[in-house]
Amino acid sequence: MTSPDAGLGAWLADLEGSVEEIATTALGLPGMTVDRRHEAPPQLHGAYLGLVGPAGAVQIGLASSAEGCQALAKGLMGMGPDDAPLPEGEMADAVCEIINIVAGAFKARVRDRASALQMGLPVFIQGAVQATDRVAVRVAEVRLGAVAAAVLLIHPRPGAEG
Amino acid sequence: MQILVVDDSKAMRSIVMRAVRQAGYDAVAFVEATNGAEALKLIRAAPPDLVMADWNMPEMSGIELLKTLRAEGNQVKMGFVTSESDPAMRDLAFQSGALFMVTKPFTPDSLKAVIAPVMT
Repeated sequence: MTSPDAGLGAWLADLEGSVEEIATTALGLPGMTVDRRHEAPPQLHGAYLGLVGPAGAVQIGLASSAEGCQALAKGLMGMGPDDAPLPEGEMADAVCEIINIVAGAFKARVRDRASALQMGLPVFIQGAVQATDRVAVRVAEVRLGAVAAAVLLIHPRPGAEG
Repeated sequence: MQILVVDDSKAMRSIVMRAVRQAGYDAVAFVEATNGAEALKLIRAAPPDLVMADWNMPEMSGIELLKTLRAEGNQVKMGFVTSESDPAMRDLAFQSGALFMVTKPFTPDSLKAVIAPVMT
């Protein structure tokens, strides 16, 4: 894995590209747009998954409002917006599966500069990720169709690994 | 024909089963397991005709399941339906005896193209 900071813009771009790819092919939500990028973790619901390599680790996340997560989950399940909401556990499971698929696409995109990345198991979290002295969060606010969402890259701050 | 679908995600098990039916295999009966360890018990008790397993799962991964089965001499047909597409993992899967490796996301048609040769 390349050192943090130097390639982080490229990492976030690859993550955004992976989300767009999966939103288009698996969720039926083509045409992702990026509204803005920043480093303030949002208070949202979302799924997160760790990727660990020989030179470090990152976490990737996809978060949205409760309604947005329902829309993403329904998209994966091939359901329409008028279908009854999924039970909360099934919604969380589906959003976790989305980030799992995104992680696979992300791994493929960064393979040339980060081989041997190992994927962890996804978790669903309600609330904001807390940035610390050791960990920073990069956020891209995106629109997947009509769904407002956030793409998150959580990474060690330079010099904080180990 | 009976297919054992192994994935820790209920959503993905549903998607796999639906895609198999949409691929034209209406008469298939499905059994589900949430990880490799659970699948191993089911296979030992009553081997299905085909196992379609995720790779990354808690307790026992898909590749650990496959290696365990082959070490026991169990030659049940098995392949992977996974978000992993790493060439080294594909090599490991096929060297270990996997018959196919489908990358998520997939369509019923792309799934059919891969599983048709083993659906006999």
